[in-house]
Amino acid sequence: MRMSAWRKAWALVCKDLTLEWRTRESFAAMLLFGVMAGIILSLAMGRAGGAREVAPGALWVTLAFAGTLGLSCSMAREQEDGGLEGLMLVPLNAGLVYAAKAAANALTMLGAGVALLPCFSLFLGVNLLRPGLLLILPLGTAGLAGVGTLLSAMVVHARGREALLPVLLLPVAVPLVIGAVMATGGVIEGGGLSTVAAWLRLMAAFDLTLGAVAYLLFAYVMEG
Amino acid sequence: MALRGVDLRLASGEVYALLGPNGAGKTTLIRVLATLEPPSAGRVLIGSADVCGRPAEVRRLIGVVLHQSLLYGDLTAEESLLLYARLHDLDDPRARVREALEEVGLGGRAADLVRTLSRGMRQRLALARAMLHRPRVLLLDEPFSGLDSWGAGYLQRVAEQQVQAGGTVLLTTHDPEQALQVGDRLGILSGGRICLEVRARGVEPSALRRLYTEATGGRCA
Repeated sequence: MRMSAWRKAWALVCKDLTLEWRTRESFAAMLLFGVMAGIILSLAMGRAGGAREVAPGALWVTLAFAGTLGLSCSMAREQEDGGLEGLMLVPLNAGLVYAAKAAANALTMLGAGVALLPCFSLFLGVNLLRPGLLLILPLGTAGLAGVGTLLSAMVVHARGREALLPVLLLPVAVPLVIGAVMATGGVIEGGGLSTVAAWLRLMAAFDLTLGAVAYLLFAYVMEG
Repeated sequence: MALRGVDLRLASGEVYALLGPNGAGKTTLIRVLATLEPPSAGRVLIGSADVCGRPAEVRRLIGVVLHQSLLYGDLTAEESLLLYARLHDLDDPRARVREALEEVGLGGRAADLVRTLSRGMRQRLALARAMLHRPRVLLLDEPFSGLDSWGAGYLQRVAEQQVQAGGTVLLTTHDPEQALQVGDRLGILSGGRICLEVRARGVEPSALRRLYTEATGGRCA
């Protein structure tokens, strides 16, 4: 990418993060959903036990659903007053708009994920504050944001987009969520990152492959 | 299909005012020219660039004002223009943005969030956004809506400056008198067709109203 393309991408990321910082719409929606889900899960599993086994799945399913809320908010903001249409009037590679939007979404989702780790540790009684999650969490949120940004742009004009987005995103994200759950489980069990390297590779491959596909398809979605 | 067989040539140094009732196809025509919607048939060139084949080149040449401001409500006026200045790769974007804000009379509101500005101020800011990269062709969809007399006067000055610089302006309006004030040439669009074209010079507002009523089949201006 040329230097000017980097500068443009950076300007777009800053725009999204500034808007998020001012409104905190996506972050607040994700965090609230996550906390509520954590409380409900802790109540539901309080007597059943086995929280250690369930915690990775509970965390990632919650993050995936919370992520769809954040993605919907983020894309709805682009619709208000035609922000995204304004970007289409600039001589700009649509892939660049996608990459910047996905990066900003991933950072917001990562922030919510980091904030949810201590909550889930508390609610489920399992220590999720492990160094290994410093790698697993960014890989997982990057994948969810990467695919989710494309899909949220596809459904933004649709009626009932809030319901449609998880229906589309979650089946596509199954390999990523499985990888994230298995890697998180391995780290919680006390294994190092080397013990979950195969799952991390799966997640990285998902992020790169789906990210590249979304980068190429975003122009068609914007024009459609 | 909103447009049918529109054949329109705009010259450098010309302001073309397109009149038409609601649903005539004015906005669709602007959106096609602005590369936002592809034409279902036919060819659209801005300069020598085809809007379908070379949209990036077209986007360098045009400045567009639509019904929506195309600005983010939770950015300040200055941040909004800075974003576009950077995306257009302008030299010294901050200086250009300050200049643009002064030009539209919003220098004192640079730090205000866009959503706190009045409708007219947002329209002026949208004009500043469209003019930021000094485009050769200005496409303005109902640009007078929401503008106060200062804003309308500014818009008229913008059109004159654009003509002096050899640029082109295409604007749409419902109002025949506004069209006469700004336009060198007027077209009346009805039912997706340009059914009448006249030179603005020497045309009386009452005559234009009559022509407009006849051309649009009595649909109100």
